[in-house]
Amino acid sequence: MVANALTGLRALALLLNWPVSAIRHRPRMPAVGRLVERQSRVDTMVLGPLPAERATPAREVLWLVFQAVLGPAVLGLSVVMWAIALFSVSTPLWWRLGPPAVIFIPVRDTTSSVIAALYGLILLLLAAACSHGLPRWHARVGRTLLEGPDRSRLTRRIATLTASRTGVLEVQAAELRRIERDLHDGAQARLVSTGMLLGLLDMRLRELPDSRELLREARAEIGEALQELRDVVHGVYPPILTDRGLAGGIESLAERAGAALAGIAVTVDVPGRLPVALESTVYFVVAEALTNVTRHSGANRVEITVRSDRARVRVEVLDDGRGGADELRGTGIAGLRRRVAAFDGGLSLISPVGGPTALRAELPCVS
Amino acid sequence: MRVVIAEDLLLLREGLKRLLAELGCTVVAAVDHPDALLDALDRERPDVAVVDIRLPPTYRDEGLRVAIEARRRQPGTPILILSQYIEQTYVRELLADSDGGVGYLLKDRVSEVTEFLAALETVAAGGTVLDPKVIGRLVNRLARADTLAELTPREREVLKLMARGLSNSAIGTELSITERAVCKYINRIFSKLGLPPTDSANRRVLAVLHYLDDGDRRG
Repeated sequence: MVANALTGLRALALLLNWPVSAIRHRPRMPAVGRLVERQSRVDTMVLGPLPAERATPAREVLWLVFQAVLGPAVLGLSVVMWAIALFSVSTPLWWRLGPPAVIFIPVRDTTSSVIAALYGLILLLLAAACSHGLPRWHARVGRTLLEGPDRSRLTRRIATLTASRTGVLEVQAAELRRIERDLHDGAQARLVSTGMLLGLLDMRLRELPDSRELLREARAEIGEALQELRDVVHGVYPPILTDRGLAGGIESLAERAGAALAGIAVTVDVPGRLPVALESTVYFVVAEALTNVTRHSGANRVEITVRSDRARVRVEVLDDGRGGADELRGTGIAGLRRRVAAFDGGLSLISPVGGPTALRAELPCVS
Repeated sequence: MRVVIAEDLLLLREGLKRLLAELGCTVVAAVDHPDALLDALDRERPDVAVVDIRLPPTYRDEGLRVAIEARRRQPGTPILILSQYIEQTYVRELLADSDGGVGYLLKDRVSEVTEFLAALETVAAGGTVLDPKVIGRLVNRLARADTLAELTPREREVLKLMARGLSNSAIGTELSITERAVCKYINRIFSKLGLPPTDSANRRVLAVLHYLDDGDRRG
């Protein structure tokens, strides 16, 4: 409350100084900004954290007037209330010392002084309630003045959150790409290099069949490790996406799945490149759909379509398999749903028994 | 054999140099950048170049692009591409010019020293070498798509090995059959697929690969 009063006085000073500075063409707004900031720290203590946004100048001026008047007024009112309350409560101690006084009722004897003290007690509670409630009310009104009503504040907050989430997703995708690079240049390279050394050793040990058998095993192990690492890398961030973008990535998926299918048709109509995080999500939606198709559906033909305009990307994977895909069995679709939801997108799986099955996802293109 | 290496990772560049030296090859240049590779190819005219697919500046598929560029400038420039993963699209692009003298192998194949050397020799001689994984995928897929349905399992085996660039005798050793039997299989495969018979081993591989690749795109 004292802090409120101080910013209030400072606000008053700024207001009073306004005509002078307007004449001298000195920018006043930075000082107001600093004051708003100081006040928002006070408000945060009272109301909890609020988004750090700079209010419009008009709102700041409005707030300045409000703060200049009510900042000191709130403190003043509280001080006066506490003073009167304490004065009244202590009536029984001092009524004899001075001339007769009127504390709510005329105080002439011990009984009336006690009654006055009781009134004082009520006032004390009232003062306490004010000390508690007034700063809150003051902070809330001040905040509304600065930032507008709840609704527009929420709208702005949602915009901020959407932007920051996009940022987080992009950072995550960049991080995955970095991991992919690190594995490629690190562990994978070292394993290949070790393999080469063992190959050389194998050559030199031609005369020792027993040792060569061990070497062959060691090399087979390295081969396995490399294959596993390749699978991991592929799951982290498919290198083909870096190389050839979404179209190349989807083609490559179709290529892999094609081995188990009679026909696979791919349409990718995506102008330019999507944000990295979005690309890899679309890629994994198609990858998971194709895994399901080849594992469970018994389908012969699959159609993959990926289209995007500026606003959204639509992904569709159709197959002519036996249908009856159950989302609750297995974790694949649930995982996809989470991935897609992270972009505010939606995913639907329509798979009547007997087929056909359609998996569709739609994601907004935020960037 | 005079070899040029293009690999951006020091560890692998040095490893390859050492391995190739041990195999009796002369490494005339070991570079880490596509431009340097084009220079080295111009200057040294090596018997074969071993090129990592992922090279600077963007660390995508520069190795492949520079290989295609080098072969555009000088058709038939023998190049063996090494990569940590196999992409069918890249095979298609690499085989597009039909000049032979190309290879595409997973990096781990290098540890099979003798096979690696054989692959280098094949590419140097204008042949084509593809990773077993590539062929496996193509053939399996076409088998499903009925394109190769007329072939017996044994003929498919022979087809796979042939597509990898193995010679008749190597195919014979691999399947424990005589070279003459291999010839008979190959003739039957060619007539079943309606391919023109050819004596040149390299033309044969290319014919098979293009057949597989076309079939793949039709499927």
